[in-house]
Amino acid sequence: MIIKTDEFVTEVSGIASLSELKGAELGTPCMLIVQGDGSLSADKSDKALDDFFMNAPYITALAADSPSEDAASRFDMVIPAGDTREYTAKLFKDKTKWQADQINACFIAARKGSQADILDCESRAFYRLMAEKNGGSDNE
Amino acid sequence: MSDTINIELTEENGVLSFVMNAPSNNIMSAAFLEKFEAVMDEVAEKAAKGGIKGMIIRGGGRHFSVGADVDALSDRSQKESYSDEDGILPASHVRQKARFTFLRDLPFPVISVITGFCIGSGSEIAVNSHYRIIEKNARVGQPESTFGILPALGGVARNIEICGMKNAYELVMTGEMIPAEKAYEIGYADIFAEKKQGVPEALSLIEYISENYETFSPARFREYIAAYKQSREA
Repeated sequence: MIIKTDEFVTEVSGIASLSELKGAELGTPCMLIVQGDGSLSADKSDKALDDFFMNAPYITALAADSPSEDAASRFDMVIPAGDTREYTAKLFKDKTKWQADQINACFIAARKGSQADILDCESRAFYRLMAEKNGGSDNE
Repeated sequence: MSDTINIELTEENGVLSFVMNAPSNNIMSAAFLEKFEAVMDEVAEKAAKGGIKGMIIRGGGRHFSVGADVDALSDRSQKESYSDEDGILPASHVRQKARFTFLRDLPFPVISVITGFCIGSGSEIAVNSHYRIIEKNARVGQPESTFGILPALGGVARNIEICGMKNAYELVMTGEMIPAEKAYEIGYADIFAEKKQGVPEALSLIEYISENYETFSPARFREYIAAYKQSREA
């Protein structure tokens, strides 16, 4: 397994099964990208793997052109295989990690939350971000 | 152009028309939002009375809306109080957000006809509607993150619901504007229309739903548009 990490992205390649991710040192990025193709396996009955993806504190993306359904369905999104640097640079351009994390929180809430949960999350994130924009303290 | 916030709600043959004709391409100033909230209260009253077949939301000029005045938004939020410690959101925000998100719960189809720019909070009016008809040459976007904030009037939740996680994430995180064709392709818009054809298309959709279903159930909004589109292809 090859793991490359920077402030915003952890990119994993060279794995044969998604189960290998469970014990890996992946850091605390905004986005986990796994490079994989149709041969990347994902055990349907692996409950711990389900939990890993459901509770991941970052957005998960599978970089693959023809992924298996079992693998793809675990991730928040599927993006084209290959060099992802341009893609992630565009996503996180001019943002601090903290800002990106605030926005990420709403998308992470969407994995298992209701519309009401996401609506609530975006409001709270808005006030945190606005407080930062207005000088770094909360709005009190 | 005068500085009058001209936001008009009219009713004709059971169809409400909500037309935004405010200064600077419907920029959402504090005065705009105040008027918007008042008109939404009027919409709620009409919905409670019954007899409404649908509502069309559109810009009166070239653009749907260029969204919030970020400086004014920043000034206003400085006067509001929020802390994660007590977790109580400012009442003004809760009230304003409810006037956006309640559109989705109305017992008749709400259709935004998108022309020109549909940006930021303008886009949030559109995504809180049940349906979006986008005219050629329109451009939509959620650029809030490029100003260090995020869409908080339903923009994240509704974009995820209508465009899916990946497309919504890219819209919100990059803040990029996308053309009408792409908006249709990713599911942001339900119908792509030629210029000036958005309103006739919206009326046609309202008539179709009204004629084919006894009641409009907001939870079934996808079913109605799928049937309508299928009927057009038949």
